[in-house]
Amino acid sequence: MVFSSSTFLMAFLPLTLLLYYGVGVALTKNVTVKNCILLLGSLVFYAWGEPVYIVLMLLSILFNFAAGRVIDSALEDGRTGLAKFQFVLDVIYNLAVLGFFKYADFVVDNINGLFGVHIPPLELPLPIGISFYTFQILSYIIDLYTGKIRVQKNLLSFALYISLFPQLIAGPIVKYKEIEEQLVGRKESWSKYSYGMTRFVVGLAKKLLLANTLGAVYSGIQAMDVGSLSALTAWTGIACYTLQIYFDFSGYSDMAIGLGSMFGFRFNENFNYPYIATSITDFWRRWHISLSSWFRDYVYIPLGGNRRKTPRVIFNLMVVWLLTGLWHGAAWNFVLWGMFYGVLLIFEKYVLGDLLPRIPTPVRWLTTMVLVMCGWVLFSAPDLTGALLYLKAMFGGAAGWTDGNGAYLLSTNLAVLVLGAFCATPAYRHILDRFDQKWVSRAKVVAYPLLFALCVVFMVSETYNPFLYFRF
Amino acid sequence: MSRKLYPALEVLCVAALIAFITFLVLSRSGGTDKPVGDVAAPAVKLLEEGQMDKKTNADAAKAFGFDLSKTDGLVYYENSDIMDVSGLLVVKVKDPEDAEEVRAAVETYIANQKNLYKNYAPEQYALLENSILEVSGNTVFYCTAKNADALYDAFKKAL
Repeated sequence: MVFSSSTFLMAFLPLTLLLYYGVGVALTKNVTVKNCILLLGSLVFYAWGEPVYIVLMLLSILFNFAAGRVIDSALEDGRTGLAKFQFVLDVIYNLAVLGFFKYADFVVDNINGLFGVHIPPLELPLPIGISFYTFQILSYIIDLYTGKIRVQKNLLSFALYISLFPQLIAGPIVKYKEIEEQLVGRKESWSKYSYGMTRFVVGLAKKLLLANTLGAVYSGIQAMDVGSLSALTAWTGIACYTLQIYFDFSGYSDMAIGLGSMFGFRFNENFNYPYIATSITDFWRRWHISLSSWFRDYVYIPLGGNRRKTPRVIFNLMVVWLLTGLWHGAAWNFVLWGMFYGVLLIFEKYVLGDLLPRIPTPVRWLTTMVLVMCGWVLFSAPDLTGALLYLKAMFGGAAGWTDGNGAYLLSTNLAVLVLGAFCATPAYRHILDRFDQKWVSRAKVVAYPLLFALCVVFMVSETYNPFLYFRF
Repeated sequence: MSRKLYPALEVLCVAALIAFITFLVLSRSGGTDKPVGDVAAPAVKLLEEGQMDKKTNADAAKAFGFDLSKTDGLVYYENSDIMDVSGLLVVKVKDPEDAEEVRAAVETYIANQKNLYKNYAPEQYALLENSILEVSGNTVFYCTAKNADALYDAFKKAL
């Protein structure tokens, strides 16, 4: 089920809220009842689109719950060998499931291509959200084994942690330690609920009004023959995609954070205006924060982080970025995209070093944005060849620098591009801060319902509605 | 639950996982015994007014170029407007091995359509880019439509 669908907005969400607040909060005031309602809702939410894969998630929940109990018992009894064996087994189980469903056909394709054999691909649909919930499970198991958290002895709480519907299928990736106490001790309040609602509406508007509009422009440009694209057309297209992916993914995160808040949870932020970053390092502190911090905590630091000698740190960084690329997709353009960022970060760290802060801020910002946009070409292209041809077009190598088509596309979409660029920065907040806050609050009371109504109009009239991060 | 039961639960989960994956892989090549009309009906129901028109088997054979004698029935809908590439095809073949032949014919059809629309109808080309072509044992499903995902979901459930 998709947040920006009428099934979710008109049926699933109102019903779940009604049950949660009516039965869970008002009638019983019992956290077990509240968790049962949320778990049931989450399973229905997940099963809606791909009912068969609910089995896979339930097996993951049971296996990892049992594995956690075995690791804990072994550590308590001082049987560190058994704990280690169980830990390794558990990590293998989770990575094997993820690997099978996400990477098996990629491996088969490459074997077929390399050796000229014809192993038939499995062509199984990717279980939605598997990359997200596998990483959540791994955070639990790793933190449990390293003694950072206590074992979860309640299967209901554990199942809810894995399957909680607001962040189940496209993040943010919530580490167990961030939510452990909230699973049993959260408090719902009107302020949390109203904040959640407004945050949800903002996310919905980002997705339906901005991301989908910009996405339609980029799809149109992608459909053209890449050899006929002028640089102007290619840059217009990738500018649209740059904003689309931000509003799409950060919109989803806003909705997830908002929904969490409506049910009394608090999830960490996943974005912090990434397009105002003035370096690639800064960009990755602001983009998909929950994924970056996951890789930092569970891959980079265990490998030795930056406390080793330079060659080893470079190796660690490249491993992290290779995995980041692969996490996003089983294709060579994602691998290249990850390595591209690995190389840029190493360049900033070891070549630019102290020189970086001395470069004028506008130059740093512009360079960062150009590099990020080139990165999105690798990310959005159907394959590596398509990406390289598009990059060639961006630098005038296909049909020159400008043409009538490019000028037309830019002029007809300039307003949405400017609006998107404006909304991707904190500028609107600074503007609102200048007004009397009493009036701002009153204006919001009118603005949010209007925004929601506009979203519903867009939702009903449009069918082009994919979330880009669902495929991860 | 006793501590000693957790390892047993893990073993059970692994066994169930293997069984589940085996089921998935086998069911991907399973197909259906139902008549093609029944399998296609839920997807046809989702077609919007004027989105596509019903076509004959001969129309399908002409458009896609496959051998009708190898099929055990088909359902074909297409938009009659030349500037609209929307289409829905569900074909049941007598021998599952012939499904790949039908798939190849549809792939060629899609490639030809893409060539036709690429430079002057980007929206139609985008639809073709997102078209769905799947083989489930003895049944081939093809759809190019703005709501192709929903049609495919309906078809899968009907198998």
